[in-house]
Amino acid sequence: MRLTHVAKYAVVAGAVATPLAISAPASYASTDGTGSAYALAATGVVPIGPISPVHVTTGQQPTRKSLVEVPPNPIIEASVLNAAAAPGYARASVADVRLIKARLAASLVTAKCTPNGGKSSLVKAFLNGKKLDVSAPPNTTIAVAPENVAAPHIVKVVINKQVDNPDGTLTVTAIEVTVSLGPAKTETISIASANCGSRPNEATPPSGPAAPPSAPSNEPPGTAPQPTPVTGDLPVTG
Amino acid sequence: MRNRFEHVLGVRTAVLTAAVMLAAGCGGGGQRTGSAQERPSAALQQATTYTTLQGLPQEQASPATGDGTVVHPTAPLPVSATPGGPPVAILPDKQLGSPTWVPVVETKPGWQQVLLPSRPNRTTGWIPSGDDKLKSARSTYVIKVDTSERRLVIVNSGRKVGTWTVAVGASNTPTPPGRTFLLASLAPSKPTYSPIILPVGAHSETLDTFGGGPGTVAFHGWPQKSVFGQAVTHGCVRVPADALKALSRVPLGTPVLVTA
Repeated sequence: MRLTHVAKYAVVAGAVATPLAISAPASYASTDGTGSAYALAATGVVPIGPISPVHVTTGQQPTRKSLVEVPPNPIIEASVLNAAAAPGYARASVADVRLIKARLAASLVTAKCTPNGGKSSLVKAFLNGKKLDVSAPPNTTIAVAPENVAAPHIVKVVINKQVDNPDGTLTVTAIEVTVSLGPAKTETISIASANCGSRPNEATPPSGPAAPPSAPSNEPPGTAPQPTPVTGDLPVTG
Repeated sequence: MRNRFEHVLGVRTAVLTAAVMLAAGCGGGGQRTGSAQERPSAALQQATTYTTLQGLPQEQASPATGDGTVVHPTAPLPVSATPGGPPVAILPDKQLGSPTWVPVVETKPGWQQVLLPSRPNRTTGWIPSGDDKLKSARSTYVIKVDTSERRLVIVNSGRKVGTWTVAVGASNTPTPPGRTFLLASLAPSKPTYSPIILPVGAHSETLDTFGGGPGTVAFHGWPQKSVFGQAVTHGCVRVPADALKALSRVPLGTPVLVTA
């Protein structure tokens, strides 16, 4: 049985890895910035991971990490936990996800972050028996009432969570689940999370009419800061 | 250099000083005294605009623009003449009150070669790149000064932000050519000729000191528009108000390419 699983994981791993590997040379060649990703992490009563964490910045080579199976824990089962990053790009994927004590499962969960934006995809994903969109819009939130007998432990599910961070980077988390494990005991599980930054200026949307054009918060991530003049005198060669 | 310096002072001091004073200029004229704030000591010298560093490699002429990587030490870092070599200077975390940001011009495994703000011009040094005291970022800007055309061009992400006609160094006090970088952003406590002074890493090669300062070249404004387009300064680049505004937004450490 175990052997069969491993064989299956190897096949899935190849399938998951291939798209990034193929697209890598063309996409990465002239991109700067940071890329980071992890396959799975959980915070709360039972901390897990991050599993397969990767991080690169400008000038570094693309990198990836994989784990065949998540270590035994009371929260989640998953396999083929991949994360890959290159400057300005990141991707994470997890196969055969199943939340223990909750009816959330998926065959493959993927998050991708590129200079053009973020994207998540879910293959054969089901919450309480209901199939979830393959490509849900960003920040699709599904609240589940605590008294819902079908999912007594799930408090909230966010699909394709996308957060523009203060440092200018974008974080894409394919699934974020908040689970109640008892009174005042919650667990937040992030499945497939990719973060990237320093998108080329062309890809940075205008900040809107009210924002000053040079506001530091609108700068691409990894960009050197606009200087703040300091009071001081230096006789220079006028 | 000393001969040229003495020549400048001996023959032209009166004219220069008078002109500078009349124009409420950059510091008040050249002086013969050595760099008053240079601090030679048994300890390693600081890589600042006040010091002259010996034994470090100088960047050659006609450099490429680089990839825009700039680094900021959050604490003083040792500087070596070669990757892995013994420290010969210290790069402090601040320059003239602004955070130190220097451009990376070359990389080797574990080491980065950066431009330094000390004399002689185009001095570089190697700093350890994996140090957790080193913040790395990228400037998408390049500042270009053509002293023949007396033109300033600011480029951001490969696109021109603007082109301005500026005043550059006079023939006997030229704006030094080569690659340097934006060193600091200063708001003078009592502004006379410019609300903002933007010193760069380079120094005049004909004036050892100027107005009590170490002869640092800078971008700054100027009250009389008639100077723009002329080679009349002591090395600084005087720019129109809107150019100064654009320059003041450019990150420190950004490369400045001066061509003749």
